[in-house]
Amino acid sequence: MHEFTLIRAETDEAAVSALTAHPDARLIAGGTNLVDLMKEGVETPTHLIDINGLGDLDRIEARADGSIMIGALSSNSSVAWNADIQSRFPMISDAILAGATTQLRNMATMGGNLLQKNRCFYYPDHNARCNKREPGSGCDAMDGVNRMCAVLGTSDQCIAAHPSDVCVALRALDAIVHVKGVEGHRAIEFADFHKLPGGTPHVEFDLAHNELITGIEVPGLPFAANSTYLKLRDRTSYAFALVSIAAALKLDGDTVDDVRLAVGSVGTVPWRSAGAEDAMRGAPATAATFSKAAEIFFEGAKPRAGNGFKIELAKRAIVRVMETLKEQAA
Amino acid sequence: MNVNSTVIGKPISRVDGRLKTTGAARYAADHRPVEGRPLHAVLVKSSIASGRITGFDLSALQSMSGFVRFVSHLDGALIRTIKNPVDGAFAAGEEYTPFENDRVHFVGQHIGLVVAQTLEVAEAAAKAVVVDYETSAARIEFADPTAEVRQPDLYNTGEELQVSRGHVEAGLVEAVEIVKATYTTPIEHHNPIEPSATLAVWDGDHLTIYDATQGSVNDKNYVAFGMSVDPKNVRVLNPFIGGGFGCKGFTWPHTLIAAAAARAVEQPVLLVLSRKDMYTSCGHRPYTEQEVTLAADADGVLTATRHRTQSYRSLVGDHVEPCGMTTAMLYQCDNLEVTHSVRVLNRPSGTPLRSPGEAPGTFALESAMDELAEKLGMDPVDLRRRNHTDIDQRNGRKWSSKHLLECYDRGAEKIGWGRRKAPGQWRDGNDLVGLGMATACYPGYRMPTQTRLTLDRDGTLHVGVAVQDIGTGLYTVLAQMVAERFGTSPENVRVLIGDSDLPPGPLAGGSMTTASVAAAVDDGCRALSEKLRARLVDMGHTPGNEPLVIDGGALRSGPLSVPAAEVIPTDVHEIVAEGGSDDTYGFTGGVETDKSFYSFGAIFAEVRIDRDFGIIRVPKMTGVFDVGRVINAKTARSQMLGGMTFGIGMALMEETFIDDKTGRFVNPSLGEYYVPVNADVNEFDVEMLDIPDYDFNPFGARGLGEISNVGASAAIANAVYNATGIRVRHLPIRLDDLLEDLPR
Ligand SMILES: Cc1cc2nc3c(=O)[nH]c(=O)nc-3n(C[C@H](O)[C@H](O)[C@H](O)COP(=O)(O)OP(=O)(O)OC[C@H]3O[C@@H](n4cnc5c(N)ncnc54)[C@H](O)[C@@H]3O)c2cc1C
Ligand code: SF4
Repeated sequence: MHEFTLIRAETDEAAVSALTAHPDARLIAGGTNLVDLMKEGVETPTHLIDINGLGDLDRIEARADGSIMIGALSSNSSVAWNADIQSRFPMISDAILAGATTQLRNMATMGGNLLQKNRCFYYPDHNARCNKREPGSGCDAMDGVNRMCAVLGTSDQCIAAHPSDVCVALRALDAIVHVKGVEGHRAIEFADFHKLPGGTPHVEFDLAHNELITGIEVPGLPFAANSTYLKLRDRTSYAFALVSIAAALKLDGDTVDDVRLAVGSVGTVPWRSAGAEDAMRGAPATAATFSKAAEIFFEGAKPRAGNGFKIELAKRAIVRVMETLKEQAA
Repeated sequence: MNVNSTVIGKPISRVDGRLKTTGAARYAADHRPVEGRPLHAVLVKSSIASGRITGFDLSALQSMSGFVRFVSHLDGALIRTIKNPVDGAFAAGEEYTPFENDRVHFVGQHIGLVVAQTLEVAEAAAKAVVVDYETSAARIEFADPTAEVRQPDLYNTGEELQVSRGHVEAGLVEAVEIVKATYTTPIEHHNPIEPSATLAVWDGDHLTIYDATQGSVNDKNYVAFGMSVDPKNVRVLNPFIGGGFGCKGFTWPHTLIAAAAARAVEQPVLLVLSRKDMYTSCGHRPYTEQEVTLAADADGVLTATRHRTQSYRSLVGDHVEPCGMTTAMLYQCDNLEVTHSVRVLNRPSGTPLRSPGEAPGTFALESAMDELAEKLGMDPVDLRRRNHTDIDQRNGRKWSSKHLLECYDRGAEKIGWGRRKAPGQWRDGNDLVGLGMATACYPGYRMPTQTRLTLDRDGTLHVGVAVQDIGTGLYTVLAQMVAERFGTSPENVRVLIGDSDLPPGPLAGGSMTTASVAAAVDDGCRALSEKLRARLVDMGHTPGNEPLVIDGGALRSGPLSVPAAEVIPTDVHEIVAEGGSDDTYGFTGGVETDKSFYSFGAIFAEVRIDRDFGIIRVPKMTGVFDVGRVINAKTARSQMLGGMTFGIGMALMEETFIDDKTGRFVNPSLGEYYVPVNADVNEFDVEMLDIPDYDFNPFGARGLGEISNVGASAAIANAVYNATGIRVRHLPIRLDDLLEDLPR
């Protein structure tokens, strides 16, 4: 039987030093992802370090400069229903509420959400080949059931799509991940936090084993008050996205003044395209502009047998969302 | 029969509702042996699709504290060889004996069992078993050209699977319009919320089993045979079952394995299947490929019908998905050919899943009818009316009671069929809106059933029969039937079911329990009534001809009223009578009759489809059903709601993926096997015609349940066509099937 030792960390430093002391330890927050994977035998930690007792990490602090600091232990629900989040960054609230179920969102933390594992069918199946779970073993999704897989940022090693909803919004908003390690504090741009699979699909984050996420900072962005999140999926609730869109729009008359756009479940990480956003800035806020941006967004996309539809679906979703934001802005 | 009954047909809440909602109802895995703790067991399953087991390396297990024993085929004859799945006394899901030999026929086959002090140790030990195999070539792909193809003659009901009448070719020549198309349905799993579970407790050569089974008597006989003990020594208890949908119908290897292991370790053993185990341990609905040809003259009269079904079976299970059986019966057509073939593959075994044959079969047939109506320029409801028949097309008999035309009328009215527009023409904002319909039908089945009726000194009635309530409401329905016969309220009746020691009844399948117990309860009540009258006469009373009423602790007949405590002598405590019926209907060897028994209905669906994304929603479904007398309006309606929800799942979501190279199911979990969530289910409008069928049994009930998902997927598929002009001939229908061709 796989046994593990449970350690209750009282301070950030204690959590970090416990991680440092035990190379096969894992932090446990809400446990909604980790415990599932432990049951499947994919995660086999020798030590579980419970961080739920860490004092201030569940705070949500709306600052005067328009930014919000979200403690890593804030539950997904508490963030979604936070009045400042709802008014400053509605796309964050929309994204969280489009995910999982009420019960899960109550348990799940923001730090855990950033680190959630992918939902590729083959990842938890020990009888399947999976480079992410077992480096060098192969990838059964490549020619298998890959309808949910990514079309952007893939490699010949792994095509798993990043499954998180809220990370798509955080990517659009250029959030900053704050972590604590033995050497102290570090801040990581959201764009750098999730790693492309490349030749090392098992390396997923810019995060050392002994680093603790303490908070997620969402920089002030006034026009994000006009933002939204659209999730398209196979049933109305309790399903991961086929395609999702997080976007914010600012108009200057009939022209796009500024825009943010990230697309979920199409990339191996939450996806942004500078080219697509640049193409919209300063252009007339028309379907033609949005459509052109959508084309640019998916330049270089590489579909597999089962997931090509995501490209067309996402393009249409981008146009729909931008049109909605345009109406809202007017 | 009192049609104005105060009991029959009323929407009475479940008598077991409180137990269920408070968690007091105990399911198989909740039970514990009277003495001591059970050992926990976990299955070891094959990871290859074909080959032999050459050895087990158990070295890691020996050192595990709490590990008790590993059993496998190497233990010799733990289980008696079962040659045939149906030897009259029982039906098993597979025609092989677990642990019989070293052969592996599919991924997920049970090849060993770990028994340990705790579940956690058993799980760890099962993972630590290293199995050595010698693999051989496996046939997994459906189209594998080397796979053996069989054309079985009979379905397990005894019905013909290869049917031919008239001349199809001649009928095709007569036609002005012909539809010929191939429809496919995916692998589907039952996924009841309660996984299968067995607690096996031996006491000498007596065995008690708490089993999540849809058939306690069947289970008892199968286990007794496999354990080489007298069936009298085996007792199966299944007072509550958390759904089955067919996967707990026949008995599967795990029950026998648990019983064998408990005997081997001389301690009670509890085996609860994991969700993943459920995918390869107790059947699924196999993939089907159905070629349907419908030919009609200019008036829409069918001149030829052909329905060729191909599916597959495992090497050890003989299930055939009988898709064409409905086609052979439903519409008037003199020239018809129905065939079924199965390819023998290294895949886990199939088994009946809610409306086996009817559900996938009507997807094909009723989609083809819609295509034909379109070609003829006819309204789909009119086409069905045009081909309506009062004669069972298979045997020329009249239907005992058929009111399908009324179902079409009521359904069309309720859904607002008149709103329907030409394909792709109905727009509302971003939505494309469509209406579709299909005929529903399901056979009337009845099996021999015995009952025991008891009156105790309090004046309480007891009814006992070895049937089971799989969540459908049978406890309540039985109480109502007995209450009706004795003019009392259901609260005055205690229902004993879920125990194979009770007088035997059928397994809960084929929507037949209500119809089967109806005749038995009627006879049991008659027998009890006679005994009680005789007793009253013995006591010097003269009961009149009025029916005997038992209410308020007294027996009454006309002006006569005698307290039950007086009627029943103190030394006796109760008066017991047995009754029943040996009649079978709907299966071969049944009662000779000049009638045919079937339930009918019409299902209508409205869909709304996002014109850019192809996301399909079902805002409304209407079902109108002719199922004979409804015993309980509330539980009956719940069955129909459940069935129509199944229909949405089948039409739009459910699918098990198989890896064609390895033979593994890829998404064996409720997280990845999608069924509808609450938000997918909107308005359901259900109506029952409630016309009694007294030719079928004394309560006039034909039974219900499965009929409500027959036709449902076709109604939705036809509505999708009406909304978009896109004909999707496979299930489930997802947005990616529509995306390219949506009329934006
Ligand atoms: C059935 C189901 C459906 C779901 N559906 C969706 C969905 O639709 N959309 C969606 O976005 N998500 C969905 N999720 C995923 C869910 O959002 C995540 O499971 C959850 O956010 C993880 O948070 P947690 O606190 O429970 O993490 P845990 O399970 O506790 O931890 C996850 C990982 O993060 C690490 N970790 C946690 N906190 C920290 C920290 N502060 N610093 C460093 N490491 C840390 C842990 O060591 C572990 O490796 C679903 C999950 C389930 C089980
Ligand atoms: S896509 Fe990635 S996660 Fe999926 S099987 Fe391949 S390597 Fe594993």
